Amino acid sequence: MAGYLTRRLGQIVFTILAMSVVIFGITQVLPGNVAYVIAGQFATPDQIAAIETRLGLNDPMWQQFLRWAGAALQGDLGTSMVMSRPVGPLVAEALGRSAQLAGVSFLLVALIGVVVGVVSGVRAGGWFDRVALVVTWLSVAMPQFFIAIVLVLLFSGHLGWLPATGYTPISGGVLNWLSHLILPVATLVVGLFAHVASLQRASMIETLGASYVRAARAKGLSERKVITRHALRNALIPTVTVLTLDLGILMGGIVVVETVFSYPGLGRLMITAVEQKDLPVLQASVLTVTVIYAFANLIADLCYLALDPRLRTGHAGVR
Amino acid sequence: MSAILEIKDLQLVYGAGSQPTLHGVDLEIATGQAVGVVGESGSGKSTVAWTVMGLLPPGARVTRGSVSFEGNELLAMSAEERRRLRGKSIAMVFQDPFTTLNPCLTVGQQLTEVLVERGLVDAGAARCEGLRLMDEVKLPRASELYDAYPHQLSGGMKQRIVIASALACSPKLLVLDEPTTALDVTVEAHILRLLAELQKTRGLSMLFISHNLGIVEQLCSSVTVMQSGRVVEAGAAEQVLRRPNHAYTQKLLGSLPRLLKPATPAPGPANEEAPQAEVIEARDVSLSFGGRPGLISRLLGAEGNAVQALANVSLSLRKAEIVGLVGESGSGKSTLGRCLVGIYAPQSGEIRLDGRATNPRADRSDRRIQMVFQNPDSSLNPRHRIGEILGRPLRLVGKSKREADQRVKELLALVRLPETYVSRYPHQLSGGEKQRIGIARALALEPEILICDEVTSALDVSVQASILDLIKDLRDRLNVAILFVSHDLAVISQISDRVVVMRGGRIVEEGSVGQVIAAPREAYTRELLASVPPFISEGLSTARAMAGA
Repeated sequence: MAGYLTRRLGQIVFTILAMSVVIFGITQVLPGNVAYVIAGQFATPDQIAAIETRLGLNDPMWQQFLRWAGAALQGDLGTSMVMSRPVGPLVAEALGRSAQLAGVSFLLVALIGVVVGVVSGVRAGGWFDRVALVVTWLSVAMPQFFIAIVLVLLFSGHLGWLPATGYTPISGGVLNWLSHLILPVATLVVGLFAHVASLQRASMIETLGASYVRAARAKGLSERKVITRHALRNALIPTVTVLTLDLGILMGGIVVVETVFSYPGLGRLMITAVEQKDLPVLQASVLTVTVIYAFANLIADLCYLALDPRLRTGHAGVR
Repeated sequence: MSAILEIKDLQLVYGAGSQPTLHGVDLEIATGQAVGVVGESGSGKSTVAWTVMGLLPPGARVTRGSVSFEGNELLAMSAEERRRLRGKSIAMVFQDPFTTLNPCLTVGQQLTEVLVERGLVDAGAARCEGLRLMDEVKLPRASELYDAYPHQLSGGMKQRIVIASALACSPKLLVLDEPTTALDVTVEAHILRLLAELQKTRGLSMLFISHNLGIVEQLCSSVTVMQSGRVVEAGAAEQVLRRPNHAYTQKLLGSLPRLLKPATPAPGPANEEAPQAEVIEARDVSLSFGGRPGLISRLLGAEGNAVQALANVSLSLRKAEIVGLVGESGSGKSTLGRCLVGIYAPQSGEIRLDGRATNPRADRSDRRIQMVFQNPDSSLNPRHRIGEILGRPLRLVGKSKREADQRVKELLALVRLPETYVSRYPHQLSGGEKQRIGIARALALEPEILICDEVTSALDVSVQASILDLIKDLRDRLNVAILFVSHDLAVISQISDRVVVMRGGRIVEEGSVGQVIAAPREAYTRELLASVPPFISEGLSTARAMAGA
């Protein structure tokens, strides 16, 4: 187990290194650079050249990369070229806000998706299954920004129940915090729970048809026991896969949702950094997402190990 | 003796408006008696078992008749009453132990859950009772196995666990649905012996469902033969098996491959002429699977776990010769077949064609060697018509559409199927017909060597007999050399000129059919032979005496 974890962590380090090179490369091929942004619209070529020299933008690419990487390895992620603030706290602050949004959304997606999927699967063809099927179709068919706009129009425009934009920390009152979170979370959840629900439904139906479920019924176990003890755990295994994928989609969704709701999180920080070609901020925020996703995959694989004993190698086998 | 189970005039329909699956089935099991129900696929024998268990799939409806257990009408009971009966008074053992056990729960959990559910033991005493049950089904190292997961057990061990969990609540009636079909023959023999013993010691009544008449005799005092949802013959096992009255029973028994070759074997061309030259030969072939982990994993210190599938195996086929390759699962018999065809390249050793070594890396699509696969359902593309399936190899070698069409007709005639099948899809054919198509496809390019990998194991016995006939006939007419891979010694003895026995990736014995079957030299071959049900190996002892073994 320890060997496995070491290997996986090694892979994660490798992924992060590769990713930082990729991000650096992409920003280099983008037209223009941060100097134009800093200098403003009416800057003279001399002013721009001065800024470029100050920031070292004329050095060869590999030198810029090594300078950044060397500092990053010592824990210094640099300074935002536009905002003149250290990148570390900037990203950490945005990450904290996004984590609240994404965390609550992800938990709800998993919970609602699994419950709706299991109930639909167990009573396939029943009324709940049919209603759930229509709802999931609708939610998959609607793009996220559309859902967001409809929700804003309805709940903050028409009904005036919830604020349309912004963020309040939880220290500013739980209700206030929650009211800013409801609409963005709802947008993300509606867009994503359908994946989980339909996959969970299909895998539940398949598992209920398995021989070992029939065998459990032949033992005279109650239907509740058959489902919770024999079917559910096996049916959860494919769901872990889709949840991991959904986490990736969720991080993409955050960019859209934070923009629509003016939510000051990591998504908006990334958009701004791209627009302003603020390389240190972009590097740090994309790498943060990479790290999160890499660890999410590791956690997913550990979930497989927990759910499916066949994958546990190194277990003292009995032959 | 009173009847524990009495089925009277049972009629059952799957789905409204369709033909009944069971047409008035009668069956009686006396207390302590084991009754066998035998039939081919589609006979309705499993439906009878599911009806008794009360586990019919949705859509199935009993339209007439009664099923009474200890005098109580089962069909009149509520679902809850039937559930209480299941596991406690009537228990079931399933066909495939590999899928019957939940992969996510330990053996012990699955063994004792029914006891805990019924409140017969508390969680603390469950382990003790579980170990006792495992001991009763003769599982060694019970305390170690109790906490193991199913995938850590062999097939035979799994089936013993399934049997033990069926026995947990001391049921009066045990329903067994093909309990040994998925197991190797030596394991099957052990399980049957165990069941016979349990029946005696516990006084169990048994309903034993099987397609194999030879096995039923070992366990059952009475046999019911079913065909297309009807009971065609029922009576004492001795009478049904030795003096069958019904034509269908006679046909079934006639189709059953016996261990001994027919008294006057039709001599194949190989027997008449001087020994032919070898057309294909495997020399010292070795192959192992698994092992090499990915680059990064290796850098980070992962270790390989290679499995040696073939270890220095040598085998040759002569023109117009049928060589039977027999072995249990994991013996490497299929791997050897695939090496000959070129699906796998041996890691050491060589495959020689007409005495010349072939290069395993280049041109491994030699059309002189073709293969027929085990399961015709999965080896024929369900979206292609028969004409396309058979015509494809011909078109691939550049035959014109007309030539190909003509050859397809010849091929259908060769495997004794009507020309009209050209426009059919595989699902419109029976299992035996599909396998004929599989054979015809392999013959399309007039190969000299045919590798048949378990080609009859997915088929009913009567269909198997006709396919075996066809293969022998094709050998005689086309002079192809055939490697017939099978786990079934009786089938091998019926069809082969020469027999090769494999175990654990090695050839343990090789010789003529007469020699290997009647006078085996190796202990393992003798064990294989001893595992064949007595009904199927009948008369063998006399042959052995004659052979001076």
